[in-house]
Amino acid sequence: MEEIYSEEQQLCKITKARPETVQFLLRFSKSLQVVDYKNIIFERTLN
Amino acid sequence: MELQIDDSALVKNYIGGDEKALEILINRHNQRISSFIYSKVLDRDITEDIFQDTFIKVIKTLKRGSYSEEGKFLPWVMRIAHNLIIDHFRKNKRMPKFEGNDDFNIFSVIKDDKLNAEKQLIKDQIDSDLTLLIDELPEDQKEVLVMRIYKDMSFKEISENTGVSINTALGRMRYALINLRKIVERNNIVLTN
Repeated sequence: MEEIYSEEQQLCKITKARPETVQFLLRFSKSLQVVDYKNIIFERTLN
Repeated sequence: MELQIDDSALVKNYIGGDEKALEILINRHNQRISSFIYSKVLDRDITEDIFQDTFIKVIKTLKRGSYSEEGKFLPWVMRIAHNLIIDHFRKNKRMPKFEGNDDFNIFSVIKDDKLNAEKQLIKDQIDSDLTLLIDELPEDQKEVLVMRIYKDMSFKEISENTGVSINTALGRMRYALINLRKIVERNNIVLTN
């Protein structure tokens, strides 16, 4: 019978972004503020 | 049975200020997006970087209110990731990667004087904000400021190019800076890195 497995096993590897990366994104999102001034949009990152 | 809120509702909540909605979206699609990126780049760290850049773009677009593809959140994110993967390969083609080993580390002999990723992000943001602010200035002030700061021209060269005296050019530069400061202060815009 024909084998239909992928030759490149690595291509099918299941990965997940690290929790630190997810935390960074959530913190980045919380710190990012978008200000609209005269139809010009400014982004500001609050610490 | 657990009730699952669909992506479009979460996107709507997030745009409305619910930060928890973003966490759910990231966790829900984390594996799928990461695996997709990994299947193309075959490197764990690069996968992590591209995943991060993808969501930075997602966050910025959503917060700016530029997202319009309701109901198609995942394909949209996948498309961003796909474009960033292409950018990654283009960049690598121009700049082949040098891998160090245990005996020799390239970073011991070269120094990277560039800003780190976070500071670069802030700098890019400030530069782009400033460009928009400069556009708000009266034409004569903007002209002098652009020549002085961006084209690095002397006030003598500016006066020759604009047909005004050096003193007038200096005055316009002064007013340009005063006006910029006023706009910045009035709107509590932070322009520091």
